[in-house]
Amino acid sequence: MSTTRSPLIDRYLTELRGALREMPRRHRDELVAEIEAHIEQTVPDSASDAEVLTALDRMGDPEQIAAAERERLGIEPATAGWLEWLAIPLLLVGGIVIPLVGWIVGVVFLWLSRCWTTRDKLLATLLVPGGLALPFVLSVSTVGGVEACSTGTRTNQSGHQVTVTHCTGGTSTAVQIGWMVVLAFLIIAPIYTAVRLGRRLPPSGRSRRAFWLPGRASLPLLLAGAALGGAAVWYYQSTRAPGHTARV
Amino acid sequence: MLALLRDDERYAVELVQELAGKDGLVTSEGTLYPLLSRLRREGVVETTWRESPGGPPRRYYALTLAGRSVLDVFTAEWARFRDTVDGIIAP
Repeated sequence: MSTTRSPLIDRYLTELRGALREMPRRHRDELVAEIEAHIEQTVPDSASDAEVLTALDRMGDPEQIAAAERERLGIEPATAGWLEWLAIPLLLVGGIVIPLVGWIVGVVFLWLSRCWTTRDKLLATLLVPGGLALPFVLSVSTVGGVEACSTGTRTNQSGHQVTVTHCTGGTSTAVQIGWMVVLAFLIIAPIYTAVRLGRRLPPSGRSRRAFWLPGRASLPLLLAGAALGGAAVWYYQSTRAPGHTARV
Repeated sequence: MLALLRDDERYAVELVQELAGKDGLVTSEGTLYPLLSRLRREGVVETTWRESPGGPPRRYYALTLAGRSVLDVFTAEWARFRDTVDGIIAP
């Protein structure tokens, strides 16, 4: 592969790769390699931009090539439907609404979809397994672990019974900061992958690209938001429920 | 495409450029590559990699026996079709 070839060629090949994203990886790589070889053989490194553009025009629009390849493989053009719009919120908050199961259903939907590449799917699955449920569960389970308190009674010098609460533990500031950083990552990463999945959906309609605007996506997103809010309130309540003894 | 391979094996760039150069057949060279893959999968052409002078190895395409008979059938049918159409539009 030449290092002096025109950036226009690289841009063309990137576009082609994008247009072929729904094809099986093996076919995609092979077709891109063939077309790359064709360009390498027909366009000299010394070609002017105009010559390169002419050659690329002759090669044809990446979408057109992708359409021919789809036809060959018998693949319908992938469009975003309910599967994709359910997969995104389920991956994000499904594990909070229905512990574990919600997220797993999201993963199944994700992998059933033809709209994303294997790389997109791996990232969405493995970056933070469980989605927002993971930081949620971690923050709930460690709240009680920061301080360990024991309560007992003993008699003081004047003969009165007093209740004494003895607290040990507590974590150092460094550990707490580290914990905050980890938690922030665990919260931001699933949101990032969800946004990324949304942005990488093929343009299905003309204007539905902005999926946060009212449309097919708004209902699952609203439900997810409501569930998240509800879960946060429930969590807040449960931390002040009986079982937390006040210091005397 | 198969007819271009009737007499000799050729490599992809040669095939594609010749076909795209013919008037009115294809508008985009790139769409011929999926076609070549299909022919390969259907077993009507076979490919061999060969070293090329001063460049990376090239994949050469050649007709298989099955490909040759597909081509013969098509050639006969096409002649019949052409004669029929000629008979209608230019009596």
